[in-house]
Amino acid sequence: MTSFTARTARHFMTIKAAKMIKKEIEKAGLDDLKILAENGVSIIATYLQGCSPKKQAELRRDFNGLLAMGVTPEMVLDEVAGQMPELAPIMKDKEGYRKAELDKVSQFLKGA
Amino acid sequence: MASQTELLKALHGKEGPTNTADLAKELKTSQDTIRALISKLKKKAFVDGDAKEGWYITDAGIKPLGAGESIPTTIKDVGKDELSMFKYYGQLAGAEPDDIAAAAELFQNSDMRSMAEVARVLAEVNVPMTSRTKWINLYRGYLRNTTLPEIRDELYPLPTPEERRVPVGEGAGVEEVTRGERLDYIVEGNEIHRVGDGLGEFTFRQALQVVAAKRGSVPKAEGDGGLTGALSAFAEALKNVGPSQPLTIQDVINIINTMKENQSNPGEASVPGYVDEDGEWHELKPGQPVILKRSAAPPSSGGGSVLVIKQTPEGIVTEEHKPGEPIIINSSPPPAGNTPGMMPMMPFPVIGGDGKPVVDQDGRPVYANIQPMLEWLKFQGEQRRSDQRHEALIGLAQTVRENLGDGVQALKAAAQEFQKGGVSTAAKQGSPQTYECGTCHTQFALPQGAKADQVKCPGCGAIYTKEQLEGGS
Repeated sequence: MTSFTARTARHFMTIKAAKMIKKEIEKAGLDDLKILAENGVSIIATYLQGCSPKKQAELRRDFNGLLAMGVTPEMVLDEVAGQMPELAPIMKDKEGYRKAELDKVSQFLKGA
Repeated sequence: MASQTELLKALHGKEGPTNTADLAKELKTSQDTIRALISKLKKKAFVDGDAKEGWYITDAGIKPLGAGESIPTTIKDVGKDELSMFKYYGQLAGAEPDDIAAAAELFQNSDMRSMAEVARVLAEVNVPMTSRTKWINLYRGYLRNTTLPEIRDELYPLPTPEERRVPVGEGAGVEEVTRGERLDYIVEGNEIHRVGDGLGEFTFRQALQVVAAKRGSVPKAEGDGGLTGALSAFAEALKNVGPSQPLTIQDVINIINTMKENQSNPGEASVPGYVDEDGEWHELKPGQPVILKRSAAPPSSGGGSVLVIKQTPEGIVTEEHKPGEPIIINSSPPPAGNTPGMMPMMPFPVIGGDGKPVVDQDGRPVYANIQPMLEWLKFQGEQRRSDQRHEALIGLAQTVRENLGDGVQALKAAAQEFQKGGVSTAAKQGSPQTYECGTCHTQFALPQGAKADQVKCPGCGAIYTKEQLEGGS
């Protein structure tokens, strides 16, 4: 059983991670993100694959840190969808999209 | 010590040439002595040969041996310097070899062109007067011959007839006067000077005896011996000075009387006094202090300058500094690699069109200063390397910039690909997984909103389960 403090910490860290992702992917523009989402292209995976190896290492370290705290990629992805209401219907309605997104993130965290 | 005659005899008995070492061994002397004797005999053509083949006696050398003659020492056997001539004249005068050696030992430390020194040395060695007079006259002749005619008579005057040796006694003839009886000489310090006919204080003999007495060869008279005792001691001492010419007591009395007569005031000598810088004599009263002043050394004029030699880029420069002036020494220039200045030029001879070094009017080789050219080439090389390095860095940065990924740019690129109708590689990577039908080979993806447990091929309608899809993918 986790303590209240731990749960609170996980909550805030999930929000912070989602904010960071939102801030980054918004640079590409909502229209482009909608196009990718409607065509079933994983936004997170595309972003991660496009980053430099150095950036990828930093992000991998941060995500693994979140995992160690109990913050899972599903939690972050749900938070991102909640913070971006324009994309949320697309991401939530497409069950395969969400699953493919989580698989890509998992592969990325494993260093694949 | 072997003589020339002994060496000739040794060579005469040999059938062939004999080397120097064998001669030295036979005559029981050093090889240097043999070489000296050989050199003298060779000059007289008595021997011939060389050091390699050996020495042999010539017909000219056999003749004096056959006649029983001894090889005399000639002028050719001695050097031309004063000391050699002095010794040679001693031999000619018939002096004993020991006296010659002793006189030469004293003479070489004195003024060898002073007749007074000659007389003093011979008197000190106690050379018999017969030989001494010959010796002095021979040496005087040598000095006169080696002196300019204008000053010859002034420096080395010939003895007057009165001064020439005349026998004054009978029988053995040992009692003789070498100089005139006139008072022509004075004694200054330990030196005897001839001041003119009858103008001096002593005869030459008296002067010699006075000098000998001054040199300490005369023992002091006993404290209470009185004048007679002192004179007797003095006479005994003078006998030692000239044993072959003993002095009579009358001679000694004459000497003392002469000294007394020449002293204007007998008591004056006992009065203490001193001579000032101007040469004036001052009497000192008992208890009167004498103040001695250390006179400062006069400043040297002209000759005390200091020469400083410097190595400059223009060459070696000599500077003259006067005494007392500070000498500023510049620190050595820093290494040329750290300064933009000129490096010391290295000698680089100028080669003419004919391939030979170019020389100046004095015949010295001409060197070219190629330092500016070297500096310019060095600057050009550095500039070229700097430009190449800059270009390489720019190219590397461009390559890095082109190859470094940007997630946002990837998203934009993928969106643009979809807008154009295609699918980018990144988009393909991010797209949902597709499957291929094993029957009709139709590519299909999981339908959106459908259950993933069963999938129907859009081409042939075959149904695949989840396990089948995961296992076949």
